[in-house]
Amino acid sequence: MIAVWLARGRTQVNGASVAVFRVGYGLAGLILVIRFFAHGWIESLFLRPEFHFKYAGFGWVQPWPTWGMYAQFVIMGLAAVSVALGFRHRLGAGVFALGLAYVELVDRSLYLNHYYWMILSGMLFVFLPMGARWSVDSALGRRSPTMQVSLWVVRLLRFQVGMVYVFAGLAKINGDWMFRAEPLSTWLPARADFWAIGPLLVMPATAFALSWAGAAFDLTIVAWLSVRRTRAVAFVVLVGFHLLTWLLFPSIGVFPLLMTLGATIFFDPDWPDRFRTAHAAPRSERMVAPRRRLVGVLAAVYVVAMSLLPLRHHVMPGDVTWTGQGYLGSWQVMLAEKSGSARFIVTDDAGRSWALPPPAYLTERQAAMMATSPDLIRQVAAAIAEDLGVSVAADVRLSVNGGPSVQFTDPDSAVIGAPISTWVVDQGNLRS
Amino acid sequence: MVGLVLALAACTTGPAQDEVAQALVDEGLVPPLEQAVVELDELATSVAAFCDDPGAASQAAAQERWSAAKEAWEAVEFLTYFEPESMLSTLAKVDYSPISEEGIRELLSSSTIIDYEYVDNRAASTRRGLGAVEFGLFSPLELAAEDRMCAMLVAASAVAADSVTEMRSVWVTAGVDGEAPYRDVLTMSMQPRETFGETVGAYVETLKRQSLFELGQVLGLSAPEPDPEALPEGPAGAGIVAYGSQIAAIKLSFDAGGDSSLSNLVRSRSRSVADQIDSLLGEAEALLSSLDGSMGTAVVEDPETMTHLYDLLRELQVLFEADVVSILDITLGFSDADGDSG
Repeated sequence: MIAVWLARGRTQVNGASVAVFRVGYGLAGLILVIRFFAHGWIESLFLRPEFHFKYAGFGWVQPWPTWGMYAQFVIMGLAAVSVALGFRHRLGAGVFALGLAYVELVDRSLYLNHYYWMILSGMLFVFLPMGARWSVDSALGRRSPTMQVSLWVVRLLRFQVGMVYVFAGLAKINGDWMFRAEPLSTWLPARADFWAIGPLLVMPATAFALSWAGAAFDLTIVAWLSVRRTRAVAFVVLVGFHLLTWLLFPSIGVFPLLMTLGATIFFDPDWPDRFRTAHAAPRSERMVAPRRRLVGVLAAVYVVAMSLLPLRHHVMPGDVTWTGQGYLGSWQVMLAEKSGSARFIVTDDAGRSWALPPPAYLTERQAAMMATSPDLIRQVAAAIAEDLGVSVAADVRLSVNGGPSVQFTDPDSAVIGAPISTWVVDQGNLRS
Repeated sequence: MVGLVLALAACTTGPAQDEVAQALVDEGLVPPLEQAVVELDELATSVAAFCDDPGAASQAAAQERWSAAKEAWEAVEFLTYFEPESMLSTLAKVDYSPISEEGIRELLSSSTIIDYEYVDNRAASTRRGLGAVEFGLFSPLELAAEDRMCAMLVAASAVAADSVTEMRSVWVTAGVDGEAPYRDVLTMSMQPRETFGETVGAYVETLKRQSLFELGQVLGLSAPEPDPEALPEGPAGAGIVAYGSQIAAIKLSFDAGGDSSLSNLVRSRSRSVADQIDSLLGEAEALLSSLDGSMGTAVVEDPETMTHLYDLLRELQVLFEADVVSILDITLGFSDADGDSG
């Protein structure tokens, strides 16, 4: 059964849906770049801050000088266009993905789920035949004249889209989301002035209804999209879901656009041709590509890795919402509202202790992000220790999902060189 | 059906956010600013009268006007944390702290012409504003009435008064370069949540300054040793009054608008947080009004009470920075970047 399913993956199918996926990715990438220019984020997020949070092992990644940062985003924009046009799309996708990875690596506080998804997808594009249809490359004769791709390519892209929904859905199965309707109970009333439906948003029942509907949507949408009979209705629901989230939470950026365009990959591979002609196009002759074992192994490794990585927080101590351990890459999409208030307790060699505010060199945004994340707190503590030659503890109070602020870190426990479990206050039952 | 939905919504939500923003600005932020303009104008007039006719009575009258002006200014000082960049230059001209007494003495003994233009455009922030006026007015009469001291007093008080008037103009009548008055920006251009973010951010900065940068350092709680230099008061000993005025200003704006107040909006989302803030603001106000004399004296004679005040201010900061930010889903003082996390 599995062997048959795997063998069928080498069947050649219409490359049109893959082309739509590629064009959508390129356009979303271009919009992402435009947003950085339009909002002044290149200045405010990279050039103005004197301090940047780092990922372990990537402390060497620093922002370019001013002209370099702007040049990088121009290059990323051109790369996104090249992906959309299918002109040297492998190179373009690689440049865009590496550029976005660099953006993420410059400052850890900028981590976003959909940036991460775009990096992964862009790297996949380097190896996948995304330009079989509707590409400048194929027009110039650089592509296969069959205009087809192997079915496994379509399957891999479906996995790429589907994993976000499935893991985001699994993450929603927790007490706060299901039984307190948080964070929607906090977020929705704050949008009470929303056009037409504002009065509905403040009703507790709305938060509960949307929480359960959101969990059900994430957990099942891949299945509905995978069944031909329910696919059209499911896609309409998907569009409505992403439209609503974009309208309610505009700062979510290009995520709704990405996922909406990405979900089209669940339609039959020839859907764009059918859509254009309004008639069922005759199926092209089914050919079977030769077996390429290495490609199959690499794809399998990717799928297994991406299936396990988001679950790693389950084997780590503490709740991921509280400790942040295992959070990166786990598709915890808009699952918690966290706000903190931080100060640091320093002790010098003479035994004198005193409190310090977060360093003035942190931007307001960085200080706010820092107060919710043990990893970022530790980096600031390390910087203070280096500057002043003192030992540092963190005194942070945190409010999660509209709840009263509680002690997040132990103000009597040193932060540097100590495991998080020794200085982050245990809140093991946070989401039980 | 629609009526039922709206009625149910009204029962569960508290005040409308746009009404809260309007009440906050109209009743909580602008009136103290108007009062500050009046008080600083009267100070400038009183200082000029003293310098025209120096004497113990005119000096006492000017000192009294200074205290009233200082109290009025402290009630609007937190507005300088709001967005318009001109607020920072206003702060530098009205009440930069700490002043440099040594610098002022150097200025007085120099040959520099001390006039309005000098104080307005060239004097360091540490040599002007209410702090410099305090330094001069509360000096012995013979020093206060010296020609160069009086020149400094008249110019500094006039610049301070004009700066507050300009601040009022930015907020109320017309912005810089014909921009809309900032009160209109807060109530019309911004989303209510952005207005709340600006306001709560100003509260947090004020409370942080009071606790960690001033009182905490004086007490040695946020410095390795007690640091008397951090004492937020001059020879008039107005530190307690200043803190009282700042806390009262936060309370006034938080409660402005009655049913449509920011505090009521917070209460509609979390009664316990609103109650805690009410209780702490009231306790801080009561504690400050129970203290006679200067903050310097209180720190020496009653450090336990001042440490308790420090704790109250810190607790208020946490409530605004963590709880209220979360409850209202706002960001403090920055335009958010893309966000899909949490």
